[in-house]
Amino acid sequence: MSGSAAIPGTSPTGWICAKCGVLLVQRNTVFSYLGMTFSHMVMRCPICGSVFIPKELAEGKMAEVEQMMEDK
Amino acid sequence: MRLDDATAITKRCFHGNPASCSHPCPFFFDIRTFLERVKTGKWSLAYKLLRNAVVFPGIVCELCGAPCMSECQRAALGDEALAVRELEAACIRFARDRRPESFRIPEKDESAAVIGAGLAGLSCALNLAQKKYRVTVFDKGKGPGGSLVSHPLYETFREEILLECSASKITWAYGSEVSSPLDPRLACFDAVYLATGRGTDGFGLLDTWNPATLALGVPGEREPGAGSSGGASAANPKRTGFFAGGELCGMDKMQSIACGIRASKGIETWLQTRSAETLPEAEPKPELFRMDHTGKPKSARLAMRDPEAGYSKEEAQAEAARCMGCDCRNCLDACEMLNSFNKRPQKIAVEAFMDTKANPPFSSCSLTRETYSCNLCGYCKTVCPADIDMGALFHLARTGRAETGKYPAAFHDFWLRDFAWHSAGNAYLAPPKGKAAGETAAGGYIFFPGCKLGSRDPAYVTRSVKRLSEDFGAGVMLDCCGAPAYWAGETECFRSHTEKIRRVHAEMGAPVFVFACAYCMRIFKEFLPEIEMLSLYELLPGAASAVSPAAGPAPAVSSAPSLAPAPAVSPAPGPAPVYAVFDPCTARDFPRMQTAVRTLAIQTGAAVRELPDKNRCCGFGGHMRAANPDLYDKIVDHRTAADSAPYLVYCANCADAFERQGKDCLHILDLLYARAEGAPGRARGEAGNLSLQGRRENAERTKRDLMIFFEGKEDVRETKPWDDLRLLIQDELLREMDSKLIMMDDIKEAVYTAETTGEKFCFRGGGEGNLDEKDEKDEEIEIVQCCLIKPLVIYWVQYRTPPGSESPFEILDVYSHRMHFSKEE
Repeated sequence: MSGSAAIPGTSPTGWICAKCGVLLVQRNTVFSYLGMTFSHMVMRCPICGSVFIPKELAEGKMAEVEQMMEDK
Repeated sequence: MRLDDATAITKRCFHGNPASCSHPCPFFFDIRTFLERVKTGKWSLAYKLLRNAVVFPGIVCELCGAPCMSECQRAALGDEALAVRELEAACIRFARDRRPESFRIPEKDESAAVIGAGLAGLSCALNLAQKKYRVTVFDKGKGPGGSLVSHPLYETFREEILLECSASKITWAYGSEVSSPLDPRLACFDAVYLATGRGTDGFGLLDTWNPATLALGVPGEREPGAGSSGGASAANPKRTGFFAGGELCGMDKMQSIACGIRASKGIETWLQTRSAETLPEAEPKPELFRMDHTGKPKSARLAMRDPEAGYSKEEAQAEAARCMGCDCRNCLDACEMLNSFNKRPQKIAVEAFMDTKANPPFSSCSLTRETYSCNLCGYCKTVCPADIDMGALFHLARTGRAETGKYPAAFHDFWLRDFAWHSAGNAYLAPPKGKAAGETAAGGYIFFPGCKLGSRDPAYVTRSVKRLSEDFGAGVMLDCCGAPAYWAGETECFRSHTEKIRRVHAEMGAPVFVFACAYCMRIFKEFLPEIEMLSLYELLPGAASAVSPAAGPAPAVSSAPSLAPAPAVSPAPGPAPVYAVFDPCTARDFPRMQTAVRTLAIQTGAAVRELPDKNRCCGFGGHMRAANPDLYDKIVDHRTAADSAPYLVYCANCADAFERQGKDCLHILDLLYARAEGAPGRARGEAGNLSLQGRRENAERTKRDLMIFFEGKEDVRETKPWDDLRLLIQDELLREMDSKLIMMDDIKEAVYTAETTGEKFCFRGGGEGNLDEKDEKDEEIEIVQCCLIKPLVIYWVQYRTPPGSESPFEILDVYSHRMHFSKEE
């Protein structure tokens, strides 16, 4: 679900966690919505686990999945 | 929520039910569908429908008196009814294959005896035999037909009977007269159907016949029909069920066939359960409705070129095309939402109930998007011949879903938060206990402008209050009517809010409420009926005397004085500007309000004209925008296209919706107040360009101005740590935030939290992404991203701190999602 490098925040590299001072890495993350849960790889801080959601993911695939779950 | 609660709303809907022509038909034949198939030349499908309904099509189309014609709605246009019988004959001729179907199902052990080989007996026997029950037909005659034997067309009828029976296994016992239920030949059968024809004695049991079950009592069992529901007895050791029908029971030939079909169903139930149940056909038929065919073209019945041969294929199709397909689709055609989902209202009712029982992921809801896409505007009810309000059903569905917690709460999150904000704190204003706002005496007026009027322009409220205060000593209450909670189906939240208003109203000495918003009035009328009400526009100069009592219900205050001298504003010089009046959907119930607005507009020198379709929802109703943004845009586009003239509205939500779409639009108060200063009304898009944040600031200013007006001082404003955070946001991004329903307050909170806690992400330097496109000096600027996690929505903000800028934070991007994530892996 990570996207092109045309937009800041979509690159898998380059973003750092300001608190821990380390580059974000792709890590498995548990998502939940309307009582349903599933996991997916997204960028996270390898130390504190903070999750980074780029815009194209939020408004693309995530919005699609949200709509699908809302219609269930 | 119970199933009955939902189905009761759509109970009288007849969409999809057989049309009026089917009602007098003994078979309740779906003539509309039959004619549709004939019209399109689907002869075999049309024949199958006919055969399944009447069993012996060749006999029925000869002998039926075609009572359907008496209910053909062509008569409403002065036309002759459809030639249904002739079209049935054509269908029989043109059907490719008339051989009866034989179903590959296992033979059953249960057996039935049919006494009488007339139409009643044969139709029953044939239907049971098709289901593979063992059937024996007894008849004292030498062949099938019963009373048809003496008919001139008997040979043709006989061929028809033999054809229809050719695929079923039936044992024929001709020359066998059975005259008693105790006849030993009947002892081996599980059920007996008595169809011995007119003038026979029905084993002497006819006085025990139950027309609802078609069952007979038998000797030794007292209750009518007990033979089919009681236990074994000496007289009936096998518990044989006895049934009767046809001419024996006083029916004509068509009724006899229909009765035989019914009897086969009753007997099948008996064979499976040993119980005689009331047959569905014994229940009252659905209500018969006639459509409004006004304006439809007349169409004369098509004459046959060769009456001897009957209709040709082309002629039959043309004649069938005269059928107007009388099926009500009024709501489906009139409402964009119902049309886009295209579901039967009765199906919607069942699904609305089922959704409250769904248990995702094991079982799904099927009506979520529909439920939350409804404007709840009640327009469907105005076009429905049965007065069904689908909005009431969708609202019931919303309350049911909210009760069970099984709904996407994010759909209404924005407005419920906005509602909470308007109902307390910086926007809420209620007179102190013991006195109305200002120095209003008990029993006077309180202006209740609703939450959107001041948000659009504080002057709407402050000028109105000033005028009402000066002329009536009126006070003011700034609050929301509770519509957002009502629309979300949040029953408890809505109830507690209306209770609060009820309490405040009582504490104020029960004044009359004056409204600027029709939806507030609708909410008060239904849920706070004890509060007397009238609209602001009826009280403004000139309107009170102009509103005729005949124009609507009596005013809440019959002696409401006119605010002389009228008019308040002078007509502008030059040609009168023309406005199309867009009445809000909820003003439908308030004709005096509608009249007053027109009167006031004309007094300013404006000319008003009417829209062809009044009281449509602008799109805002029901807060469906988050659930179905595409449909929302479609609705607003449709409404804005209804007239090319600028709209004159008197609902702030209508004005916002139209201006956001670029439609020239004026609120009636723009005309009344802005014109007074010599301005030609509000500039196009002026208010429509207001951001969500701008609206909140206006709401706060409204309260502040009113506090100064009444109390001579400002209220103590509730503040948040991020209130003073200065952000730089381009207009384009502001518009994007508005369309995504993202509040500036949330953005400020996100940035403030990120900067104070350090919980943020940073991206530094050039050579990546769109940083390439920036100035060299930008390459050293750090881009920051942070998020704000709210219970239902997560907001993301991307920003930077441009050097030398007055605003420390330049917002680059904002977006949100509803899905939550966990820090745990």
